[in-house]
Amino acid sequence: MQTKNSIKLVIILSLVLFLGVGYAVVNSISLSVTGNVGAGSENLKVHFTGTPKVSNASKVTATSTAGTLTANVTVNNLALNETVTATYYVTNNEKDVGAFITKDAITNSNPDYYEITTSVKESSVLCPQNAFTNEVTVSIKLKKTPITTADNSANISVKFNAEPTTYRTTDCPAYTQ
Amino acid sequence: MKKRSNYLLVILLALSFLLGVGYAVVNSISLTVTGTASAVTEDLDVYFTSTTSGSNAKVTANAVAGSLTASINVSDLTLNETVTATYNVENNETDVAALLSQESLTNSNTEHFTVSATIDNSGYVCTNKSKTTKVTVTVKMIKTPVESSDSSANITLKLKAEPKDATTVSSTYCS
Repeated sequence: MQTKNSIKLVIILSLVLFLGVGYAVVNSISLSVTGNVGAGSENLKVHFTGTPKVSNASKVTATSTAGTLTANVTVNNLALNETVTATYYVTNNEKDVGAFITKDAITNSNPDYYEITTSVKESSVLCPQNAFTNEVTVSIKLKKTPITTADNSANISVKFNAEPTTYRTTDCPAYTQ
Repeated sequence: MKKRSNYLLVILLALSFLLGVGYAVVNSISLTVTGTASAVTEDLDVYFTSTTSGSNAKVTANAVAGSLTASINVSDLTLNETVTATYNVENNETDVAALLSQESLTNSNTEHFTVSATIDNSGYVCTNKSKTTKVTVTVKMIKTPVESSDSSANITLKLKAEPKDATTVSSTYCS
């Protein structure tokens, strides 16, 4: 009778051990997250600001609207070999992205009689947060006396490019929230 | 029997794709200035000089330098006699040539007088006053007046000066 109980106990213990060992084996698993992350795309926040200045107010009218990308110039009564200019101010409203301002395309409908040139005052980076302004200038010269009415005027369009760039903090004021 | 505890591991992942913590790609932009330009409108700077001449003492030709009018006075003509008065025209433009032509010639007494005009250099008046162009008025009495009212004539010569591209004017006329 005692032997029978001992055998039962051994069997029970063995089962418990077997179950305990089986329960303890746990495999490692991997959890993974997959997907795509992308940045949004925005236009550089560079635009005209302030009031343009002209070389001769009796012959040149220049206008720009702050915060926009377009400006206007009207020139009247140019004399032969006379050059007039219109200068516009550009600012950078980004938080932490600098901008390079460079000359771009010039379109002149009457190049036989008018010469159009452009310039950018500062070649260095335009700091963000409207910390500084750069100046872009359009120059218009009458290089030949028009004879016919058709030769007397020109339609002009000039572009300036604003490209994002990094900058050294020593060149620009510290970023602020 | 040892109770087996089951553990359920629930993992919730919240993925935030708010990229305020990242930065957006910034595109280059163009600033554009558009407009128009035009030249001043002025009269062609062509005029008489003060230099005039008459073929003989019966002719008096006058012009004021820089003016657009000149005068002629002819007296004591005899039958079939012809006299001339010559005027000089110059062009003060720097890059626009002028082409002179006769616009009109009036003669109040065509029965007794004939009037004609010629322009040399084919009418071209060169830039920068580099060369004057001569205008010659010729008057001839063709019939002896009987009445005093027939013995004179009022004449008017009008010349037109047109602007021409100086680069297209042949060097034959303006060199």
